Amino acid sequence: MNKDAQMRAAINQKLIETGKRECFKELLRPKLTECVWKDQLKVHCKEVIKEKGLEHITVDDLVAEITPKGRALVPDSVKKELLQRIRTFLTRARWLSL
Amino acid sequence: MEEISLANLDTNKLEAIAQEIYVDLIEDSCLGFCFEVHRAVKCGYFYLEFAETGSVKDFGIQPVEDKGACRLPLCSLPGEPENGPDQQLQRSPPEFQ
Repeated sequence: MNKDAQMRAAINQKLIETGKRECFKELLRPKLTECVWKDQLKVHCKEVIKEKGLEHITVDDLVAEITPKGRALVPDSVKKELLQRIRTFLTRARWLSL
Repeated sequence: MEEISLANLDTNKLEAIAQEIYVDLIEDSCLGFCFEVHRAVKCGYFYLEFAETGSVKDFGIQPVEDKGACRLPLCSLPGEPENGPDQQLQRSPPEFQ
């Protein structure tokens, strides 16, 4: 594993160990709800299910169709805030050990 | 024990890592939503919880034919064969029409 990959793995581990990952998720959830992100995705879901059929829709179908749309629909303000918090976490967690 | 210092990373690398973490979190949210939808579809309540507009016809489901008063045994009260439960309850809900 090269140094970059080691660094990424260590950071991810730290995110989980410190509970920061869950914290970021809990922060994100209400923000996505109040910005109607979920509502917009529901509309898109409806179209996907109409196209594929209620009986035939699979998780893979939903993930393939919904994920790119979900990424694109996140408002800039939510993205900015979350990124800022992540950057703050990274600058505070200056020393990691392996 | 080897120590890895984030302070040695340049700004671009740090920013790239921040972006990766962000994308990971968003994809996690999307995946959670997909599982919710899939569960709703398979358990039969998708159109109740997720499809707020339109009707079951939108999904190729034929609405239940409204035949007026319900004839299920439990709906007929004993001693009152002519009177069922409240008339409003006998008719199919609008989403099935």
